[in-house]
Amino acid sequence: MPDVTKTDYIKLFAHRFAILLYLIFSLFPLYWLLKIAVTPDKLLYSEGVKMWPSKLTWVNFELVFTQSEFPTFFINSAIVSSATALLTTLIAAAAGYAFCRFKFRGKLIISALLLITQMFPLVMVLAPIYKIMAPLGLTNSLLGLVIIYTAFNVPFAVFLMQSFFEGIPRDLEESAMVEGCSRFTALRKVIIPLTLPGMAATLGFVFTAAWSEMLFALMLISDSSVSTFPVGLLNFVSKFAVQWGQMMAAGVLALIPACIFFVFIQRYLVQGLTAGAVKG
Amino acid sequence: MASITLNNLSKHFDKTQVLKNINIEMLEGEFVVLVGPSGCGKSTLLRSIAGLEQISGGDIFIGETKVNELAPKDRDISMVFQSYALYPHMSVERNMGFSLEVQKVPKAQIKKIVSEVAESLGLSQLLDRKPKALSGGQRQRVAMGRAIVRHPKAFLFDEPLSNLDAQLRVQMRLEIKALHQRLKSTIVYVTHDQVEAMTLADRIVVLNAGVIQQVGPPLEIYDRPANLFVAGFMGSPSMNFINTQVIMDRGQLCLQTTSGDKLPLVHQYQNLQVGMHISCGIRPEHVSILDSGFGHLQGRVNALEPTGISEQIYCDYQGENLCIYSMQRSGCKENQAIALQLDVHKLHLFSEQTGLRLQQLPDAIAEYKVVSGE
Repeated sequence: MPDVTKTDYIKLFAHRFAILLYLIFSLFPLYWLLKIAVTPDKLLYSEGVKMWPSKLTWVNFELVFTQSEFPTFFINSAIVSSATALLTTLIAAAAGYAFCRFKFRGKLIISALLLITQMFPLVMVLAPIYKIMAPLGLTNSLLGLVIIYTAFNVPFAVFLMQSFFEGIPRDLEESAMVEGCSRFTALRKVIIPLTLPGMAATLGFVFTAAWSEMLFALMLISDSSVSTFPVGLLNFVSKFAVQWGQMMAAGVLALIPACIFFVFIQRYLVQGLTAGAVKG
Repeated sequence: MASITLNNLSKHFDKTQVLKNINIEMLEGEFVVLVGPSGCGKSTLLRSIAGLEQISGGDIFIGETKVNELAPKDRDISMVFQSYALYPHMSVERNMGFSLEVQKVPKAQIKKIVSEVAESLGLSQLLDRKPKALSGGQRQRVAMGRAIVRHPKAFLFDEPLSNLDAQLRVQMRLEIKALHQRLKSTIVYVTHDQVEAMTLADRIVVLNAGVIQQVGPPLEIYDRPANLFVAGFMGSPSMNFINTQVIMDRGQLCLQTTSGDKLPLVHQYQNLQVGMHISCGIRPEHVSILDSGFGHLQGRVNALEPTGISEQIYCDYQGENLCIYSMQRSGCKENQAIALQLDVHKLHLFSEQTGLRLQQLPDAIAEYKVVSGE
């Protein structure tokens, strides 16, 4: 059946071509970031738009490391994002399990409230949050950021975790309970090992969200010693000039932890997100 | 091993009553099968014994201990789930040893016990595998092995064979029976498959709508169903029912069908009165097709189901579908008119009003020879 084979080839080609187009579209900004980071400042404006500069330089990276506060920002961001990811995942796992397995009064109301928190534009709550955080001494502190990020990520993470728990048959923990486990031991020995992919997915999702968050960081942090990296990037914009090269170099460096994180968890992530999608 | 006693057990979800006043005493070492249509409460009953469902009233005793308030883990019973509920992240070996692991039994001892049980179930080669790499029958065996390993007071089986294909089901049925004979264990087994119930049970408990209909040994339930529900539910193909009325015909008690055919009553029955409306039950294997003559009833063939070893003939009689089970090949055609002979010794009489069986009295005229038809 040569006809079928031919259309199959065309379909395959179209499919791959579509993926390629999408990849180019989504990766091009990253490429541009890298390209500008390695372009010497002189050439940036003189060469016009070229796909690759005629001369390469690492000087921007050097400057970022030695002359800027970028290392501090980087560490701050790492602390805030990891703490947020861990805290959110813990809370969401506990809440998701409760939503999935227990009947309790006010369950519907609580899930409705969780949903409602996701409906407000952030700009609307900026001022009230500042008003709450300032007297508590939580402005200009990494802890304040962790609290806010956790609060804003928990609702979605709860729904995500709930769907992962729902993908695990009740029979499994009931069987464990008949076999001599308390509910908590059953959770620890049977359910949690099976939900690890889901937790990894949640962890990754929250980590990236916290890593790239800028609005709250900008509002709550004024001291550069506790700035996170998205806010720190603005330091490269001065009154008279934008230090494109250094800014992009910092951007490239900021991609690295996110990349490492995803390489680390992607195995769970694919498994986790699909499991959630099919069963949740 | 221990007995299980249920006293006045009841259970309701919100306002729906799912179990009503269940009283059963399951003896030590007895194989009890709970059978009934879906939604009759049999699984809920089993889960109540396991402690996975809270009961609303009554008591459950395992051995001498009242377990109403005990958590499932403290009841010392094993349960085999319909889905097998094997832990996907553990090897067969760890799955089987899990209950011992939880009890903090030394590793070497767990290994020894598990390998013995695995040996007896033919699972020795599979101990390192994960459940997803097993076939349905192997998973079933692992689930049983997991239950056996801990020497529980009783085994609970929740429709364990319903996910297997027909051939494997027959094989596993035999294995479960052999297991019971070997371990002499108390087993409570839930199924909706009456062949399983008949073949496995020491005693069958027939449930419908949360109420026990009849408790007894399999053949007693088959031969003397207590009411219309049990009569219709147990047996495949199921019992035929004909609407009749008791009349006196030339000095003999008869059942007269709505179309006027007469079935002579050759036994005496408790509380039988002339004029009573009776649902007359007859099992398909007690109806035969006559080559000549009129027989008791005349029907018209609706459908034929030859299975090779036997044949089931469905025919229409006064608008009812009567089934005839024959070991001979009848050679009937669809729409053919046939004469049916009923084994009048095997009639089951149920009061149409109450649905209850009219008990047959010890017989003075059992030897009375009936001349067929007219």
